[in-house]
Amino acid sequence: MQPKYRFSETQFTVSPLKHSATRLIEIASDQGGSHQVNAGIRWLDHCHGELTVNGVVRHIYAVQDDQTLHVHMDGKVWQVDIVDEFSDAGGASDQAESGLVKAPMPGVVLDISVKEGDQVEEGQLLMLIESMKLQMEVKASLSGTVLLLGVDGVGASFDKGAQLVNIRPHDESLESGRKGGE
Amino acid sequence: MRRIESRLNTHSEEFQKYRAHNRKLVSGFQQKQEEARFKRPQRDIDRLQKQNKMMPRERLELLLDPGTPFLEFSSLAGSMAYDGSAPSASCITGIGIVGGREVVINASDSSVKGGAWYPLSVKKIIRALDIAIENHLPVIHMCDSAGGFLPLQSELFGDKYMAGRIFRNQTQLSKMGCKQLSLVFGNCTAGGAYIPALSDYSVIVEGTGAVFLGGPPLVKAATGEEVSVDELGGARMHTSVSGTCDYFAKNEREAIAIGREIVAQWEQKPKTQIQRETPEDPWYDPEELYGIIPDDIRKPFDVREVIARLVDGSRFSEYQPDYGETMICGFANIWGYKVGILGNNGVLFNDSSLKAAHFMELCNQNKTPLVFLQNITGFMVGKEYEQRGITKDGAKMIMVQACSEVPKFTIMTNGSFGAGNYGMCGRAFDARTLFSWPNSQISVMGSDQAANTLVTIKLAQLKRQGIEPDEKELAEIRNEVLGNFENQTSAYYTSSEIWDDGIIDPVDTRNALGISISASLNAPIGDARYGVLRL
Repeated sequence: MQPKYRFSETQFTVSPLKHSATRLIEIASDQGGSHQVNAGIRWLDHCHGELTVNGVVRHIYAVQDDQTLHVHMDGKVWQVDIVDEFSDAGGASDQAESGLVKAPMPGVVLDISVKEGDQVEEGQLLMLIESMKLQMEVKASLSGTVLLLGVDGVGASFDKGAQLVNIRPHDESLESGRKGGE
Repeated sequence: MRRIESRLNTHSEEFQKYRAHNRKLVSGFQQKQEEARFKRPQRDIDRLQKQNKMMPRERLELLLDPGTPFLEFSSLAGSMAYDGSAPSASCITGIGIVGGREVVINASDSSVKGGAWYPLSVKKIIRALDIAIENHLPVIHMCDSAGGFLPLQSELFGDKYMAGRIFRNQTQLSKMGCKQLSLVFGNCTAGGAYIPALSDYSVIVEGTGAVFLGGPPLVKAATGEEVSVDELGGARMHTSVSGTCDYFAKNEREAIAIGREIVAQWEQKPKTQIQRETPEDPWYDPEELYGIIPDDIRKPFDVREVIARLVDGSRFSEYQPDYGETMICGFANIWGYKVGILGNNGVLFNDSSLKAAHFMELCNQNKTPLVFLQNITGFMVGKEYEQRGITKDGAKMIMVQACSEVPKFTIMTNGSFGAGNYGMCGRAFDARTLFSWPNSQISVMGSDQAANTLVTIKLAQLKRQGIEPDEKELAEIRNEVLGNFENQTSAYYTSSEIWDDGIIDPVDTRNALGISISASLNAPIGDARYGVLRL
């Protein structure tokens, strides 16, 4: 993958074209337009180098802090961010969050903290279940109203896939809920 | 490699509660360890001084390269046995650096009962030599032992993995080309005499060092001959008349200096090369581990949060992230070494067992060492799962794990129950090193289950005899079982019995793994081969 850098709000893609004593590099901006330069660098120590661009030699000092390059040249300081390949790939999955929680495996209810009709916040503890000697907290995946509790009460057992709780998100229209396991 | 994105809220009440709980556990452990290492009755300290002997840990300081780490094994061995009269099982073992070379140290602790070998001392020494064999490491013995602890001789002499195994291991090390050096600081009597005798090089100290198959009292009783310790097996005699020992030392310091000079002559074979990058500290603070592990063994936590505080840069390339979600597999670096990590997020199902097996095959193919972070209550039970073959799938996971050619390292981070222990490379499966966190617990089944099972059996028994169950009697049985369990499932019991190579502070895990991985690369890594997988 060609390295991408972000500088002053603009993203640039750098592609090496030809390699000799110096490299011919094409720098393409995401706002259109590109130009080519002959560039080479000779490192004198770990942060001090001689940068040659189109025949002109300058001294630069550069340091990388995680994903940011700090470059000191000609008495000025520049900051260039290295664009991560994964974040550049984009396409974050925006699945609509569902308020329905199903049991991951058969188990038993230890404790229920809410009742139908309660308003809950995202992350709020709804019930405590136990399976294979492991306790699991069932938390609200979004804020809303508790539509139904699919279990009879503390001590009730359920199968894998049983609907434990369904929450209607605050700004969705009412849907009819189904009771019972599958 | 992508960084793990931590979802942890380090300001939550839960985090603070867990952190306080674990900090307390760790400081309790550190105190016990400090006592086991250094607390000795004054009369024992005085006795050593009168004999012109250094304290064993002083000898170790002088022997090891300055400023280098020492990975000590089983410092709490014997802590719950023998009424506590044998701290650290009267010996010090570990991996250290001498002359730039990784070596296994086996040092008698003569400040404990004269360095006598208790059954657990023998076990600890054998384990240290097993580690040397598995990792192709040279060994330095610091001999100063009164010999076997006679009142318990039946537990340390006759069986296959008792005292004789120490000497058998020494012969195998020699056969493999792993060098052994003995520094004789005190008595090497009877069996103990074979440690320097089977070592490739030995140094003996004038006046205090002695090597003989039978000491003066035994000789007198056997043949009537009267002879002094020095005449019978002292330094001058063995280095100039019998040739049993190689170098004469005027005092302990000189002995250690000669020892270091000897080690400097040893060839340094090239180590096995595996993928290695520049080391990087974890992005998240390892101290946060204290707030991740719950105060109740039944409460879950996301093992990815633990991984994020163990590996370089908190970078983790997760394998099959959407499949078999109760098993977390992925590649990471620890101190620059590429490793494959397996961690538990719940019980093992069919898909998680298969995922683990496949991932371990990938690591074997890639010559990548495996690190197991155990927190497992077991495999899923039930009709549906049996019909889908969970027993077969568990067997496949165990087969691949146990036949792995790459070095394996196990950390008991929390629970280790039942067959889950096997799949995740428990003690029986030859991890090169296995460490426990102070909060960890291990048993064949949970304490509640065991107590209920035993009560059920008692009830059935009473019914058969036509006796009405006495509630009080049943409660007593429950409590007794629970009490025993609490005692015997703790990390302290495990470590005392040497079912692990020591308890460590969770924050030290990274360093322990780094040293272990580095040491393991002294041995070659074979090509992948497995037994039959029941498909």
